[in-house]
Amino acid sequence: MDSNRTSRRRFLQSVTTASAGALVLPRAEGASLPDYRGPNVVIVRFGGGVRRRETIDPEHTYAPYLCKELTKRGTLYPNMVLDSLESVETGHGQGTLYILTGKYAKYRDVHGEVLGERFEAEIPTVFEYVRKAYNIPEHQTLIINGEDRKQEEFYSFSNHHLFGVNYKSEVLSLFRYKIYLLQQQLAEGKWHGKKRAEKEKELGEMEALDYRAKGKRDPANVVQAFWKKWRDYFGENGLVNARGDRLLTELSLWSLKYLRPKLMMVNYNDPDYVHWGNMSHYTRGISVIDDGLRQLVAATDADEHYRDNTVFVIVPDCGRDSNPLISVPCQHHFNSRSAHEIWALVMGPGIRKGVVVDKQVDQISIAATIGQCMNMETAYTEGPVLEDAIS
Amino acid sequence: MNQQVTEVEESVATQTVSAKRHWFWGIWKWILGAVSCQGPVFALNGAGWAYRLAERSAMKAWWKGQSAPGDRFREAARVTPFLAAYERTPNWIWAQDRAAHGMLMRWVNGLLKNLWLGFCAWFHSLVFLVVPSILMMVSWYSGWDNSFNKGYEQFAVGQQLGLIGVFLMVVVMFYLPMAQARFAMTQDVRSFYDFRLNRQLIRTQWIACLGLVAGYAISGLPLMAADSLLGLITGEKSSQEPNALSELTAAQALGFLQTYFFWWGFYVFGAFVALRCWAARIYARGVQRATQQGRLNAETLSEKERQAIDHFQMASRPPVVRGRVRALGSNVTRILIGAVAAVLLWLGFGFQTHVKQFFNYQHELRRWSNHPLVQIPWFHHIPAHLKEGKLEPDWD
Repeated sequence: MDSNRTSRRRFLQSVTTASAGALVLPRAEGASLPDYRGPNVVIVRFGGGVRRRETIDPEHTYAPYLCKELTKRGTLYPNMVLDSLESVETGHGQGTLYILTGKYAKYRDVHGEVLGERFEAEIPTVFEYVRKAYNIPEHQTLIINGEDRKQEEFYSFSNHHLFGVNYKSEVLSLFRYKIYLLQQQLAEGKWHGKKRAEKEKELGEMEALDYRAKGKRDPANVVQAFWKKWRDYFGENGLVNARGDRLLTELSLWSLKYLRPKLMMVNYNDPDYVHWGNMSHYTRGISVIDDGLRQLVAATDADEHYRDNTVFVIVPDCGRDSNPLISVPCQHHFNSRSAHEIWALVMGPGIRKGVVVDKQVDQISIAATIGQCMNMETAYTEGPVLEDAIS
Repeated sequence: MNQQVTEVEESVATQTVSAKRHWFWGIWKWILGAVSCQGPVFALNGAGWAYRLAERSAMKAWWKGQSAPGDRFREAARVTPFLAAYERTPNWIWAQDRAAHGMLMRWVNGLLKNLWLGFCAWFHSLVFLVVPSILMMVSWYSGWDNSFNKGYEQFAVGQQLGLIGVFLMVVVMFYLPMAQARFAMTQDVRSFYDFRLNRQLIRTQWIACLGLVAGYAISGLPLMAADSLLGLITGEKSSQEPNALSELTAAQALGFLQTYFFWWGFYVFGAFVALRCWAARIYARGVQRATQQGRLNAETLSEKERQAIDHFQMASRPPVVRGRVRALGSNVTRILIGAVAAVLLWLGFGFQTHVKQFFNYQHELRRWSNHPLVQIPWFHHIPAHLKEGKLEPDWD
């Protein structure tokens, strides 16, 4: 009885929202937009904050594949920085948005929480640019997100009045899978009575987190089919599939195979565990990402659709401190000079190989460079294109 | 008349000289205290000295209970054989009464005594704290290890070990300061394990004990800040104002930290001593009150305590009426309020260690097995790489 009433309410709510959406919001998909025929782009956020020393320094690296093999295939910028303007913070959320929007901005948590990082960009992300310029469906622009930083699920579009939710990217993560799973389990009538009400509430709360997109965009059938395959393969308990950054690699590989993204961002984050002091978490996290890179590059090399047609942009979200005063110098990233010092590696078709550009460049140049690679205008970015990388 | 004026003037002049000398030696001993926080052996010495000073504080508290207003303890101690050993604050190195010792011992008796008392207090405090410390240490390590490796099947292990560890620490800390205070007086390690007597003294002085808990929690805050700050202070405001601390050479960083910890030593040692003396006074009043109420079994007391009770004739004085305490309601309500407040305060104290570990990770054993205000006042964390002249550790 309860479930029927709830279903009716949910149905009416979704019909009303969908109708309003159809009237008010223009859809991105349009016959007038050209199909995208340029190279695919994979942005790898070498995240969780890493220093140059443990990544691109051959003497101290924990990422040998990146440092000793991939650098030969592309252009390395060892001297990239997050600008040291007063408002530029060296956080993961901020760094990710600097990469995606191409502009430094002062971000505040939308709910006003002190340590919250639920940010909303005011200018478009590269996903929005590419979807506004080309006829690319949402599920072919992807953010692959981890389970530890749920707030980064919602960096898929900005609040810009000319862009926004209609040009958003799809997000793949365990959080999205849990939503899918709950929806399916409720539809299958797995629970009854009080338990069902609890699960419906839980689902409602999870869906409400994406309040800007809720009711405006539904996951495409192809994404639902993706999760169905995932469920059939890994089951429901979450203890079979990989976790942490290994999960992100797995999700990325599945995406390349089943969703064929044109633009994908992988938000690695495991090295950030060094905040708790265990240095091995940091070095191990870097190795895990390095292994993920090896698998991603191997997958694109092995796939005709992606081979010689995929640009990789590998860039940390932020650096980490090199604080000599404490036992674990890179334990945090409290806006020190070292926390501003990052690097970037760009490789793929149209990119110079085996080049090291030692001049100082900015993290916000990534978005414009992606724009250049994908032949789209990125009108609101502030960083210049990394021209030295373009052959 | 003139002779009287001269005597008064001489007396004032003597007191002024005495006060100056008192301040001079006080500051000198405090400097030695700050130095004692810079290494584990020094800290044992400093802790031992603090326990000897706490013994003097307890004796002074008993003496105050029967002295007239305006009387001075030092003067009374000078003329009272029972108190003669307490006239001056303890010596760091020399024997307190040099005439009573042989050629060698008169120069080092104070040092040896401090070291021995410090070691006993450290060791027996650790006996109480070893289990909660290990639990919290394993919890921190395995909790994050599990989290990193996403071992969700075992996620509760770290969490529950941590909760049990914190709970045990709270239980121990209800008891330990009184046991330490009593050890300061008896200088007999068995005092740590006189559970019945120590518990009785805590019950007699529960409000004062609650204040002491608050003292620990509050005086731990600056320490937490000092430790955590090191993890934060290399941050920059902008590229226009580079932070000099992030540009230090290894030698400069070493020098900075040595200075930093030396100056903090004044606070750490001061707080350590203040808490010991405060606890000693609470203990002294507890013994006095329990004796007056006839609740102390003389056989359970040490010889020194029995002598003090006799000397100060504690048993013959009327018991103190506890009016203000009764205002808080029935026994059950009072116990409940006191217990909840103490639990919260000790939880706050335990939380400080976790905050420090987050901002400035220290070797697990070191961080969790010694709190500078509880065991020994060792507050000097120079990273190993700086001692080796490097800015970065070798992780390989």
